Amino acid sequence: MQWVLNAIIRYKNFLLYFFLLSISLIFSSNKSEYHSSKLAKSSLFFSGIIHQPFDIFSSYFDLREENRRLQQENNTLKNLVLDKFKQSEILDLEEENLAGPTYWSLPAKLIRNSFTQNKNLLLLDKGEKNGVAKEMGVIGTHGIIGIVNQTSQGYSTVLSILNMDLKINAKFKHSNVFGSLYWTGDKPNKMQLADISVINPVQVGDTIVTGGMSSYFPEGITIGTISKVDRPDNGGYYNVEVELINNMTDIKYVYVIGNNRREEIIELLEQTP
Amino acid sequence: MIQYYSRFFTLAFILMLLQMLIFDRVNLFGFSNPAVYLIILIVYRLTQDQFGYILIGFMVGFLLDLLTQTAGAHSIACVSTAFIRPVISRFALGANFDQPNAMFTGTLLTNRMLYIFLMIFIHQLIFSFFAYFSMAHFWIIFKHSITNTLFTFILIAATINLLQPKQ
Repeated sequence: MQWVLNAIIRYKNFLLYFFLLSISLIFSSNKSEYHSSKLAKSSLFFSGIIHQPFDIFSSYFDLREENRRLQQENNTLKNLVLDKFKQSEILDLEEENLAGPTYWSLPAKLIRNSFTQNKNLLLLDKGEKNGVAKEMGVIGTHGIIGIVNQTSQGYSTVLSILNMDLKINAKFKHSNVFGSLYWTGDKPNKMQLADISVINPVQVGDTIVTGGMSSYFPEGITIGTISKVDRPDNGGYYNVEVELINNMTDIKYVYVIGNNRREEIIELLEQTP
Repeated sequence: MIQYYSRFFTLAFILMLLQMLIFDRVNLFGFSNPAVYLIILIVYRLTQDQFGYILIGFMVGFLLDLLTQTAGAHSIACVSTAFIRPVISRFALGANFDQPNAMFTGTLLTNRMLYIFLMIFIHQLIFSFFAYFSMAHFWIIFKHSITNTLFTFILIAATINLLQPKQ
C-alpha cells in the first residue's frame, strides 16, 4: 500500500496533468445535449454581461458609418416593398395572404464577432425573451450570417457560416442546381460549394443564393459569387470556390429569421419513414 | 507569499479581461490575435510548486474557454504548457533556471527571450492543433501558430521589459 502512495506522491504532477487534460478533452468533445446546453447557457450569460458594456462604449465611435449603412439598407427594403406592391396589383395573392407570412425577422445587434477560429461563434443581444430560438437563421445586410446555436433569456449565440461544422444548402441564382456550401477554415471571405455535378455549366461570376431546401433561410438570399472553378480530371463534381458578398469581419447589425411553418415541416419530416 | 499571490491573481484577472475585450478583437491579417494572457504562465515564479502551477494553468484556460465560447482548446493548451514548463525553462534558461526570479534577474537576456518564445510557440501550436483537430489543416495550423507566436512574442517581450524591476 505504501508504494502506491509513494508512486502517487512521486507522480502527482503527471497525474494531475492527465486528470485535467481528460476534463478538458471531455469538455471539448462533450456530446451530452443536456450538460453541454447547461454549461453553454451559464457561460453565455457571463459572456454577454462582460462583452455588452464594452460594446455599448465602442459603438459610439462608428455611428456615422452605421447610419450610412442603415440608410442604404432602408432604401433596399423600400424598393423591395414597392416591388411587392406592384406584383400584388398584377397577381391575386389572396391565397398566400390567408396563410400568413412564412418568415418573419427580428433586428439584433452583434456584440461579439469572431472569424479567426475554425469554429466561429457570434454573440447577439437578443434572446428567448425576444422570441429567438435555437436553429433560426441569421442574415446581415448583404447575405447570410449563420444559424442560432444556443439561447439564454437576453442573449444568443450564432453558429457563423465561418464554422467548419456547418453546411448550408445553396443553389445557382440562374438555375436550380443545388449544392452544399461549407467553410474550409482558411480565408474569412471564401467558401467551397460541393456536390455540383460536371454536367451543369458553371462560370466564374455566377451568383450563389440560399436554396430554400432547409427551414433556416428563405430561398433566394444572396450568398456570394463564384471566384474559381476547377474541373477535376477524373471526378464527377466541380471544386467551386465562392467569394462571400457579406464582409464577415465587419458586421454590426443582423436579422434573426423565424419560420412560422418550421414546426409543421419538422413534424412532417419526422412522420415520413 | 500571500502578497505574491494577491499580486499574481490581480495581474491574471486584468490580463484575462484585456484579452477578451481588446486583444481578441485585433485580428491582424484577418486572423491573428495576440495571446497576452500567456504572461500569467510565463512570469509565475519558476521555484513555486508545479502542482499549483498546473492548476492555475487549467483555471486560466477553462475560464477563457467559457468566456470566449471556445470548446476546450484554451484549457488543453494552457494545462499542457504548464506541465512541460520545467523542460522549457531548463532548456532555455540554462544553469540558472531554478532562480526564483529568473524571468527578471540572474539570467541572460537572450535566454529569457528564448524561454518566452518557446512558451508562446508551444502554447500556440497545441492551441491551433486542438482547435482544428485535423492534420488536413496542417498548413493553416502552422501559419496561425507562427503568426500568433511572433505577434504575441513582440507584445509580451515588450510588456515584461516594462514590468522589470529597476536595478
